[in-house]
Amino acid sequence: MSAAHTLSGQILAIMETWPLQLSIDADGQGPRSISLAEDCVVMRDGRAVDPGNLRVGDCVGISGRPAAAGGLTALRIDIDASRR
Amino acid sequence: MSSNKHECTSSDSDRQPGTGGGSQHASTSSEADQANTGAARDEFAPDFAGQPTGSEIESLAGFDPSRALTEGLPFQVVDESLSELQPAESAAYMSAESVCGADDRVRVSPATTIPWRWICQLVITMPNGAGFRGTGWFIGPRCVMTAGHCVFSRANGGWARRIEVIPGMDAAARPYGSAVGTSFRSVTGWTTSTDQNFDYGCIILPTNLGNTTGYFGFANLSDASLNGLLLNNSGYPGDKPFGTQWFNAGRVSQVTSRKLYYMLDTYGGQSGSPVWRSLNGARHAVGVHAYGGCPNSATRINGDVYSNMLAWRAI
Repeated sequence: MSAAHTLSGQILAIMETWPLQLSIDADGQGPRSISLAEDCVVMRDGRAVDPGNLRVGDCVGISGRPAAAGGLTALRIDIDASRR
Repeated sequence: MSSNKHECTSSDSDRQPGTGGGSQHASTSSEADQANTGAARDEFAPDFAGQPTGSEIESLAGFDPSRALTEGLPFQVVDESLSELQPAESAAYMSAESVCGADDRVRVSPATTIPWRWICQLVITMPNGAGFRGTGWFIGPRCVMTAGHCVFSRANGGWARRIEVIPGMDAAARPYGSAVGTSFRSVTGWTTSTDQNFDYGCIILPTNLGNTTGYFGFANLSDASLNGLLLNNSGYPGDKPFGTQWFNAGRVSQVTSRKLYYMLDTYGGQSGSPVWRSLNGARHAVGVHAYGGCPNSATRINGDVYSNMLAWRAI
């Protein structure tokens, strides 16, 4: 099993497949593709929220497993409600 | 054919080196690099079977059209009826505080009448095994239009391995059965550049299932025709029971050369769904819904997209 990877950044785009796919400006290094796992947990202010609460411009921390071409499959996303 | 970065052509059997090659039949199509600012005159490709409605919003039990007239607007529209809609004066409807508002989606059940049966649940399998759900819609006997990221995802290995297409699905009901597509089309603006302005593609089915269901027309409308236009949208959102189709409508809030923005309600799973104009009995798609996050947005059917769709419809 792959080790967990983490990154942080700002959401640039939300592609509305289900599960969602995101484009993230990861740590200021340009767009990176993220696919949410079916059971991805999205947290805001310590509470689980629906992935539909994600918004373009949100600052997020993501942990997950690596996917093809430098992508990441997100298992958990924390929305930093203090930054946008 | 020009030589810009967004153009390449390949035969139906070409594999795309370095992009997964998950499909035996995937190709990219020509598209001009320079921004297409829309049609000088509106141009249309006809739908296959329309029914007169006399309205710009589809008639569906339980849907309150008055909300569609005002959602996303910073002011209340007074004395506006469905039969007397006027073009909006301004596209500047968005504000920083905007949210998509109350959820007023309405379930389509059954989905066997027009236009609902033209719309399909997609069950997508990517080369790395990742599974996604999306929405597509017939534009021809074998051609199902959808978002580019439904047929090609670099982060998941490239071209989809397979996509099951289920028209008019309504929970467990599959009134027209299903077909599995392994042949796809998109443009290099998406497959090479991952540019959301080029996020559209299609599935070529092995059968003529679209001759049974019928299919959407589509149109390349001018900026003036699109500004403030009332749009219909229906698809298969992931927050609802699997395989159920949900409808919403709302106005275009902003138009660019390649995108349409709106505040009508969508959700993950509706990527690839049609946004269409219903007018005088004809239904013409004007965009391919692809992005959420409020405002939500579609890839605009501009002149380049329109030309590719005409070619793909003819396959």
